[in-house]
Amino acid sequence: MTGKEMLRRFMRQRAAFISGIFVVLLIVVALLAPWLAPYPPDLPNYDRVMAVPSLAHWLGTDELGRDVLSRLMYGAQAAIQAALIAIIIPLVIGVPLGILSGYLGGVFDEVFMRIVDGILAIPAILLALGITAALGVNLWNAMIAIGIVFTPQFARLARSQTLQIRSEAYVYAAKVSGAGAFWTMGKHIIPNISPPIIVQSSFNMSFAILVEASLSFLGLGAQSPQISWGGMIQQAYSLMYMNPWLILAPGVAIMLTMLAGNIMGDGLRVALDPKLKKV
Amino acid sequence: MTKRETLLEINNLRAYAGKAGESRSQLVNGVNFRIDKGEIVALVGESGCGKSVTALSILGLNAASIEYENDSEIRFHEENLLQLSDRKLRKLRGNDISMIFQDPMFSLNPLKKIGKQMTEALLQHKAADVRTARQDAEKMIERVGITDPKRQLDNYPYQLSGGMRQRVMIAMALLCKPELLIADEPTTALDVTIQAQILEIMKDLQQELDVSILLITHDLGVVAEMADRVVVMYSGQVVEEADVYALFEQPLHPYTNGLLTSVPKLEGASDERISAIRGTVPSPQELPKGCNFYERCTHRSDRCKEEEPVLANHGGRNVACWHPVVEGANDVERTAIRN
Amino acid sequence: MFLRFLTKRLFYVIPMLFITTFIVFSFILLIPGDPALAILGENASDENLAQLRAQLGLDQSLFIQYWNWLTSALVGDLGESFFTGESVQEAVFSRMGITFQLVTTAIVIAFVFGTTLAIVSMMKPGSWIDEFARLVSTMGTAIPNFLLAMLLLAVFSLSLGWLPATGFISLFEDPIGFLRSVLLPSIALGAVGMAQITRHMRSALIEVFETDYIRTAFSKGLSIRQTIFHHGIRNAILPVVTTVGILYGNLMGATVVVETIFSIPGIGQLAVDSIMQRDFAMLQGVVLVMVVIIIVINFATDIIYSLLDPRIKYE
Repeated sequence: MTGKEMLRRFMRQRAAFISGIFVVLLIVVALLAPWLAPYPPDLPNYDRVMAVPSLAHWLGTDELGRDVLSRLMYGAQAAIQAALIAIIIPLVIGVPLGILSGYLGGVFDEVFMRIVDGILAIPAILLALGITAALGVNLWNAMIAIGIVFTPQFARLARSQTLQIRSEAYVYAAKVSGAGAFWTMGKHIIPNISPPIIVQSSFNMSFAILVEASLSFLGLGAQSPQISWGGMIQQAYSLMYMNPWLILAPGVAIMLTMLAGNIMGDGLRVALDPKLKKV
Repeated sequence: MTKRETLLEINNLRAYAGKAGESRSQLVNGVNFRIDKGEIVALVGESGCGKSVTALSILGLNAASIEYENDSEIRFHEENLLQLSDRKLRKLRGNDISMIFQDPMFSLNPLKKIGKQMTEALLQHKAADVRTARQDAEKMIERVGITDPKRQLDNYPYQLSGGMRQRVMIAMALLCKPELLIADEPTTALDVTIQAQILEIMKDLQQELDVSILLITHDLGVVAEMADRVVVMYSGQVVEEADVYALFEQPLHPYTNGLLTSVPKLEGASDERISAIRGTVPSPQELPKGCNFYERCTHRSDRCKEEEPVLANHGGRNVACWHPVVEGANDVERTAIRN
Repeated sequence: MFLRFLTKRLFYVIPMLFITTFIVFSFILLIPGDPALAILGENASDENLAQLRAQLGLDQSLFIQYWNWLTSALVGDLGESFFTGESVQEAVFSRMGITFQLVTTAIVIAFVFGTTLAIVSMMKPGSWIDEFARLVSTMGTAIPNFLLAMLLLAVFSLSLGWLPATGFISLFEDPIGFLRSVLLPSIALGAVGMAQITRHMRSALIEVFETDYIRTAFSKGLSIRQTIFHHGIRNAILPVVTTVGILYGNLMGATVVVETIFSIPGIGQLAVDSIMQRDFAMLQGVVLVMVVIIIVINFATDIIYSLLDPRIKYE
């Protein structure tokens, strides 16, 4: 399948297409936040504390009178960063290790996979909590922790895909005809294991946003003045008995972004898998 | 030949994949034939010619996306099965008409014991209790040649070989003493030695129970072995229908002729060549204007390209061809008697 | 035969337990902040610090520390909290019971509603309930548990006052009170699981319905309902069993957030507290017990799977 055809298969799915547009818009908003945001995100306005949505403040103001919409836009930056870091680390560390393990097999594979399984038995959030605590509490470290947590997952996926491809006739043929290990991996294995990894990345981006928000909510992520959606939820939570609706704006932002990530993942799965015809 | 009572009659069956009005492809295009009581009719053709769709339409088991023409008819006991409610159809299935399928490996539920699966139809249709149903099932699988039936009923399908499973399928299908058994390529997935056994069992039980069989196959050896009458289908249409002896003696349609000559023979000159039919079946989306077999035919004329031949009587047999194969005079043009 | 299968699986599980506990142990030592310093405070003398380190075994090599910890863990001694002096195993086990009840309730809710929704949507394709099942299976995976927890809390406790906002009552003390206290947190916890189960069960059912043996069932005259109940569910539920095993681990992790919101004194809250306080002994105990439970649950799922599928031979 050509790239063009994949793109067409992806666009033909309406929900996936809309989700794709949503993600692109989110990135644009995050990049242009300093110009798009109607107010500076940290500007308090003690005359308009916890105001309901109005023309001046589309999504109202928080407990310090800061504009919720502006904070949401800056929070998008953290969300996008978290999502990117959370998949770049496993792609750079986990995937090569997984391919190597699957390709080499033997004792290395055995030991490596046991370690991976061992790490995977620890609940992801708990592991992320522990690593964040180890690295020091701030938003940046929380993102790195999430990336580390996802690494064994990707290693496992890359390994199982490599095993599958390795046993296929054409890889065997390449080896018999004298192709070296790196040539085989680069030429045959990486292109063939990419689709499932791309799909997994899409799902994990949305899971990363959830974990980042959870860590920030528990006080182990964004620290004031860093702005993240999870941090906004934490602030809103402390005021929940007075004003429960403050959680809505960041909550809905997280939910929509996760939804878009999941639907995109489904769409990519269909678009990249020639065997799935149902569109 | 004595005139027998008709059991099932298919009139002008047309089936489409997809909804009316949208772009849809025609899978079955005006199929007509009948099955008499106690008769074995073979439905022959290449894969994709519509024989399975035809068979499945009898029991209403085609996918929901397949639609039939309003005037299509499958008559069984004065009722049109295509118009029957789901409820009434379910009363027929497994009771008056039952079916066995191509691959016995996948036709049985892997997680259920054989006995449970066999008695299901009995419990559904006959007011039987579990014990008598089980006894009936035991007797029946003994009749299809399975030893130690008591123990086999407590086995799971994976513990049985393919041939054994097909025996179970046959026993299961005949348990309610149906009037018609539809067998969709029952031996295709089996080893040759097992094939012969299965066919023998089917033939024996057919005579014992006086059941009619619609045998769907592409294997002419099976046809010769089993059938009383043969219906040949090509790309959604019946192209020839004849008594089995007459058909093997002298096929009239060039396609049937091609099928027969593509089977290697033992007797006869060793230098006689096997002739394969060239080309492939046209796709249902782009059927030609004239005869569907035109592209592959050795007897074609310009008329075949323009005019679609209809099934017509030719010396007591039906054939849909402008130029039927006649020994010694292959290209004599005949006038078809339209019906 | 079955016993041999069990032992074979156990041989896989036991090394995994060692590896996981070792990872847990060494990760926790990476957390900066010297426990001795944390306990004695900034003004403690070097002499006192060294003494305490020796007492806690912190001056020994990682492997020896792990070995000491493991051998005492095996006889049920997980040490004492650095701060309260409370016995770790007592704290962990008393709180584990609470979390176990909560997570199990959440799994039961997710499983019962998820499979039912999938089955009903399969019986009436295209109906509103089918649409609803699709909606649940897409939306449900995207609702963050903390958001759902807060929304439930805001609506059913704060606004309507139907259910308590915080606290936990054990099933064994007061079943009604247990249900009231556990309902909202277990829904918040189980919603994602329900969405996943609906999704998996639905696609498994669709897959099963394309098989030949389902066609055989229809050809016997069974109705859709009979076919689903006698041939569809058991075959489709097999892959879902694995999902439930994985879910158990995920939900166990998610208690970290949900227990905090509903102030449930379970192991999730204990985990957060011990991380915040750098109470390493406690944290090691918490993670150890969680991981052991998760591995045991997955082991149990494997066994259940093999019991449901006669094709798996115990060899």
